Amino acid sequence: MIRVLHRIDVIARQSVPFALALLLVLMSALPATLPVFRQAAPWWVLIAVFYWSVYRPDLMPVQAAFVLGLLQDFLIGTPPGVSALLYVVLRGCAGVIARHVTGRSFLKVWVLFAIVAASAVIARHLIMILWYEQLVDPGLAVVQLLLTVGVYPLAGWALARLQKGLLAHV
Amino acid sequence: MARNPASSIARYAIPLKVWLQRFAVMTFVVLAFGVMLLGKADSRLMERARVAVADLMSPILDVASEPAQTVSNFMDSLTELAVLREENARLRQENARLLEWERAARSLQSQNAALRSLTNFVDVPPAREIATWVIGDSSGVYVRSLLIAAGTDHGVAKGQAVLTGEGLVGRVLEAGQRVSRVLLITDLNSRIPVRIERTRVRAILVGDNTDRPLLEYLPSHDVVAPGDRVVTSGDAGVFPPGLAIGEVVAVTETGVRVRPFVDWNRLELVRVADFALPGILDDFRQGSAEAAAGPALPRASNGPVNAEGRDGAEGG
Repeated sequence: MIRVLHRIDVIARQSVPFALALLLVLMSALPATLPVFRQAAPWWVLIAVFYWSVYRPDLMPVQAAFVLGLLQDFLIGTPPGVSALLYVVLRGCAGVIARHVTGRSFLKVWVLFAIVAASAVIARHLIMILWYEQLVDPGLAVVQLLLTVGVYPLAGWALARLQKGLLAHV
Repeated sequence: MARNPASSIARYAIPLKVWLQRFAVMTFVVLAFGVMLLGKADSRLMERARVAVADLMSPILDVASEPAQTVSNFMDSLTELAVLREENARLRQENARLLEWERAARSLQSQNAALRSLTNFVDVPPAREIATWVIGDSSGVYVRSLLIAAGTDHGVAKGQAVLTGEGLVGRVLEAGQRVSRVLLITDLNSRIPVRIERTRVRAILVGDNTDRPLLEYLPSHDVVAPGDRVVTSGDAGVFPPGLAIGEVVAVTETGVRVRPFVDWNRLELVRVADFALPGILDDFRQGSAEAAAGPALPRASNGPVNAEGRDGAEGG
């Protein structure tokens, strides 16, 4: 019995990264709570996928990244497959990124995240231009990038706390 | 000795795992591209899939949007408190102005009624309306759309107009069973045939993902001035003529910008109106609207629905 309970506990803890990212996907589709964030909220899901891909890749498998992206595309109305593609590619690069992250100072991790986020935003913008077959104003995308990079220290800290607290032994 | 087989298995198993993982990344990259191509090739199918997903998630969205709304209302009331006095003074002024307008409107209304009875005027049939909650807002960097908590179960169908008391919000892009997606007038894909209320000149309101959509296909920029009201023209039969949209705020070399009357930050309840128009939904049929300065009809009414008859008959 105890063994079963323990197993359930482990599974529950292991599903936290995906569940949290799923929650962020749902949140991105809700009516915005703050007027400032109405159009260009931080890209929370990108932060979550980045963090777990790098620090706990076993708990953020490729298929999870794909499902998160596809669900987000379907819910918020971006061309289907775009976010899915970006998250899968990010997850695919996780190994390379992790090598540059482990044992580095937080500042270096932050800079690395900024580079990753900028690449994702630029890639997404280019896909959108191809998709809509017209130039799209990049202003909001830049604002979103700045917000995303700006909130990373706080979000990364919270995720690290979560990892240490809940996932230390699973 | 017993460990040897295990370690030899591990020797092969680990590279295999890595290889499978790489293969998985490639598979899902290809899959994502496939979904993208499919979505580009058959946007109707994709829109249906989207609404189906939204339908599935609607109980969660329904519940989750409530606390979000509460927080939003709380923030609103905080900011309102701060500007209460100013707002009060502004409202007094506006009230005085509106009372005068009411007098004018009443006299015009009776005049209009008299003229209508003289000419046996047939008006646009009144709309069948339902009111519903906004449960999802994907006003992101690239998309401007809403999810509303009503679908085919409640009589919502593709193409119906979505309004608030202030003006036009958009149109139903796809109706699911319990949830529908609304394309806002500010979305990149939104094209709405409109008319400048003062000069009766026609144009197309083109969304570009900013809060200030553009007026295009104007014969010249001289026919509009900041402050002019923009209303639907009724061309193409998607919307009835005369629905309020917004006012012109900027007339520059780069374009004419319109500020919609709808307050995007406070979209909670919307009305879905079925005007039962026989119109088509192909946005591009109104290429004819490029000859925008259509013959201006003699005007009298400032009412919510302009007495100009159906543009279908007029514009051919």
